[in-house]
Amino acid sequence: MSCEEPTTSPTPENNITVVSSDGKEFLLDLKLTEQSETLARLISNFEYDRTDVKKDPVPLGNITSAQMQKIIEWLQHHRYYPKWEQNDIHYSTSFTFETWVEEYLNIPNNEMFELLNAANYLNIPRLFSTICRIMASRITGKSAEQIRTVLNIKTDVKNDVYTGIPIQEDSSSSEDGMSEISLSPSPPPI
Amino acid sequence: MSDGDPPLRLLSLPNTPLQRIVLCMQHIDQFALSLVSQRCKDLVKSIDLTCLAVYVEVESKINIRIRITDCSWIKCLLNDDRATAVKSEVKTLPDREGFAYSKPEYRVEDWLRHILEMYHQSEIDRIHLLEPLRDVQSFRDTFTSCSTIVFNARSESEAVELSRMFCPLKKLEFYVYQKDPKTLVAFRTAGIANAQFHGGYNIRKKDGTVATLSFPRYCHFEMLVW
Repeated sequence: MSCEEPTTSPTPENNITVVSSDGKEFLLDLKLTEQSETLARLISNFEYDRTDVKKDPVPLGNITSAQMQKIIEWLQHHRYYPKWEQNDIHYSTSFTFETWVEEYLNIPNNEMFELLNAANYLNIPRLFSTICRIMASRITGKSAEQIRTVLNIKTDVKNDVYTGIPIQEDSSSSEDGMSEISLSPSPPPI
Repeated sequence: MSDGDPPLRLLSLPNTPLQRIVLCMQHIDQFALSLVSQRCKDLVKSIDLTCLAVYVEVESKINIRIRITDCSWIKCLLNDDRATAVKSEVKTLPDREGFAYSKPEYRVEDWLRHILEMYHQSEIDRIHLLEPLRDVQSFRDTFTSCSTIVFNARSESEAVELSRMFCPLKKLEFYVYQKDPKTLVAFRTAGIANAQFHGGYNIRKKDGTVATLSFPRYCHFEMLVW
C-alpha cells in the first residue's frame, strides 16, 4: 500500500502537542498517531479525539527532538496505512525494502538504534519491524567470525574458576551510550 | 551505513527489539550468531527456535543435519581431525550457502549439544554410526533418546554393547563385521550355502527352538529357525 493521498494541515481540533526530552514541541495530527499504539491509547484514554476536551502537551521524556522529527517523517509517509494492530503477526521477513525506506534508514548505526528504541517505546509496529529487518539484513550471509567483528564482540563469557560466575561479558554489551527507554510517559493532567 | 560507522551494538539493545532482530534473521545467520559467544547463544535460545528433526551420520566425517522446515535444512559437517580442533562446515540446504568455523573447545559431542540446545531438542531422529566415534559415551550423553540407530559393529558383543548404550530406541539396525563361524556352519548344515549373517535377534520358544531374526536389507527381514 502506498500513501498517495494528500496530507491535511493539522488544526487545533485534530492534533495534539508532544514534547520531546529536550523540550521541543511538535504539533501532531491525530491521524498520524494511529500508527503508534502508545499515542493512540493515550489519546483514547484521555479522549483527545474530542473537540471539547482540553489537550495538554504530551511529554515524551525518552525521545529527543531529532528522533521525534525522524518518527514524524515516518508517520507522514505511512499516514494512510492501516493503523497499528495488536499482536501483528503479518510482518514481513523479507530483506527487500522500498526505495523510500532505504533512503529513510540510510543513517548511522547509533541513530538507527535510537530510532529502534523510540519505535519500540511508541510501539509503531511497521517502523519497529522494518528496522529489525534492516538490522538482521546486516548480519545475513556472514560467518560466526564475521558477525563477531560486525558486532564488535572481542571476548566470550568466562566463568570464574572458583564460583562459576561469569567474569567477562561481550564487549559490545558493556558499552554505554544506549538510552534506556522503559517507562511510559506520565499522563498529562486533564 | 558508511565505512566509518560505529559497530552494530546489537547486544546493547533491550530484549524485545533484540529478540525480534534475531527472529528476522535467516536460519543460517541465527546458527552463526549462536556460535559467536555464550551470550549470543543464550539470545538465540531465548527466541524458542524449533526444528522438525535432527539426523546424525558418523562416517569419515560427522554430518549433523537439522530439518528446520519441510524444505529448509542446515547441514553441519564436522571434520574430527584428531590432531586439531573439530572443524565445522555449516551450510543450508538446498541453497548450499554457509560458512566454515572452528571452535577450539568444541568436540563432536559439544557441537551436537549446541545444536540440540539451540533448537530445544533432546531427541535425535536417526543416527548412522558407520565408523567408531572417539568418545561414544560422551556422544550418547548429549541426548535423551534416539528413534532409530543404524550401526556397524566389529563383533556381536560390541553390537550388544552399543544397543544397550543407545536404548531406549524405537528401531535398531546393525551389521556385524565378523561372522560367527559356528553360525555359518549351522546355516550350511541347514542347506543354506551362501548365508550372509548380518546379526540379529534370537527368539527362543518354550520347547527350546531358537530362531534368529536378521535384517539383511532395509526393506525385509529373515527369520531362521534352528
